[in-house]
Amino acid sequence: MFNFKEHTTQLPNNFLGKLHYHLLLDFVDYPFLVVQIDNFGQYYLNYYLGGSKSLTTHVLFKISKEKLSILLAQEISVHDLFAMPESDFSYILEYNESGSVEYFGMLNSALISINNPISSDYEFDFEEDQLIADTDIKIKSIQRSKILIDVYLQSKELRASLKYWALKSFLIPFSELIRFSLLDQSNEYTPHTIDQKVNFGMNNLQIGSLSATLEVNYNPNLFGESTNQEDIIKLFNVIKATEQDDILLSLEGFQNKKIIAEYLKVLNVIIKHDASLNTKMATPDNYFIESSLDKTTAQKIKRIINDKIPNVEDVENVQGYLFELNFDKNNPSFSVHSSTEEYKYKGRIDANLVQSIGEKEFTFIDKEYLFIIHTLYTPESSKSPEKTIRTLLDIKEIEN
Amino acid sequence: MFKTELPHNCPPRDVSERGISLFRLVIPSNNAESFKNHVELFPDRNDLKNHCKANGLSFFDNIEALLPLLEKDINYDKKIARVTITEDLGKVSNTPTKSGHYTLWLYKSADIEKIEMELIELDV
Repeated sequence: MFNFKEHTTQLPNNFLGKLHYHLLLDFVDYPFLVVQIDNFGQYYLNYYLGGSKSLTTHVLFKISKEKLSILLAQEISVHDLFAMPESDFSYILEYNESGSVEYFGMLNSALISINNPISSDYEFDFEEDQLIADTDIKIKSIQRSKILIDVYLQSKELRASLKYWALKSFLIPFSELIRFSLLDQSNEYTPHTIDQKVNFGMNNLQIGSLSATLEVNYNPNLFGESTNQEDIIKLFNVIKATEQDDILLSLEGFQNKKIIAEYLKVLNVIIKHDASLNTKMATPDNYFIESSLDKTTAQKIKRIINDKIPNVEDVENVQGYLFELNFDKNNPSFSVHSSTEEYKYKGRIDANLVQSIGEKEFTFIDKEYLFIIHTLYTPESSKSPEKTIRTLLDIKEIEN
Repeated sequence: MFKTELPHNCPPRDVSERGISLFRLVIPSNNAESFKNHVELFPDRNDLKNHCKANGLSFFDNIEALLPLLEKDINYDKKIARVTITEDLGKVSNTPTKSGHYTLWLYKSADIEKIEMELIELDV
């Protein structure tokens, strides 16, 4: 084999930055021929030249998307591709056993074409399942400097067109799950400020299945840690949990138990529409996590939650405007419009409040108050639909 | 369940437990090393841990496909062997690729030392 390294000009080992595996074209217990992609979307062809486990030598050169398509369609052989590299310069890399680059050098591509290391009969098997689709979200996250959450809901009902239930009954509760995760135990956000400070962008909504990408600001602190990232990882731990202990432990990590109610809504959608949900998260610091749920798993998780957490209770402080206070003896009721979210809370008034409220006067619609509301959520069962019962416990003036 | 922690959607659906005889590059008299997947062989390389094939073992249904691999430095200590895959070992692809490649994902419970392999003598 021609000694390519001898003819290289050495460059810094991280000269090309992070290269992600994109396609494994020839993998037999080792990646002999792969396509890699950098953070700017540039493809590279990477071929093993030689070396043992402790130090392997590879050649790397840029390949355009067009050329890659031709290669994958096998309209050009690997041998011929190496005979005519698109770029004037190629690279020689040496990897150690841990995969780190020990040597990186630049080489005139003419030497590759003259001393072609590929035999003329070399072929590779390309199968769709070799595609590493995760690369896209990872690179986009780095490029956009945001935490990206890919959500992909599949169901037979969604094949022809996007259905309203997919938006209302799935995407909105799923977005609420993200929101609750960020709000839970947060010193930074309140329900009032989160929508202003956190960008819930949806930059990809596809018809045919429900495919959306949610964006959350990364905001690392001085130590490079992102509380947003940690909060969403907690949520992924909930979605990934399929055994009782893991499910209960992951849910215990949330102070706001409303998250259980929203999660059950997501599970109900999967069950009712025989759907499958795949979610992935990528962050600008190269963290990646994914999970999937199908109907069977969703049913199992729901059974566990209903069995171990039959009723979801929560007490919330809701800032908003008073619309109704009805002290009917038999059925005292209230209605409050939240000023931080487009939502109306309705329910009954706690007996203690009815007694203590006395002759107090309240301003309707025009004045904001702080309402203490207890919520009891009972999930749907075979005997009854889901039920939410709200009870107004107290009304407080807002201190300026 | 599997020897290494498999990524999401791995193994693919088109796999099953089955008895089949296939060829693989092995280190003679060393079952433990012969049946390590890429993730086990390179435990510090994180980039491919999430790839399904990197957590499996490569086999072929023909010797010819293995011959060019024997010439690679990284396989200097290996020989071609016929390996008897049994149902209790793990899950193997149901259909081969164009070149006759199969992937086997070993169960944690697989008794590696009991895997039968017969070295193939090649005509030089």
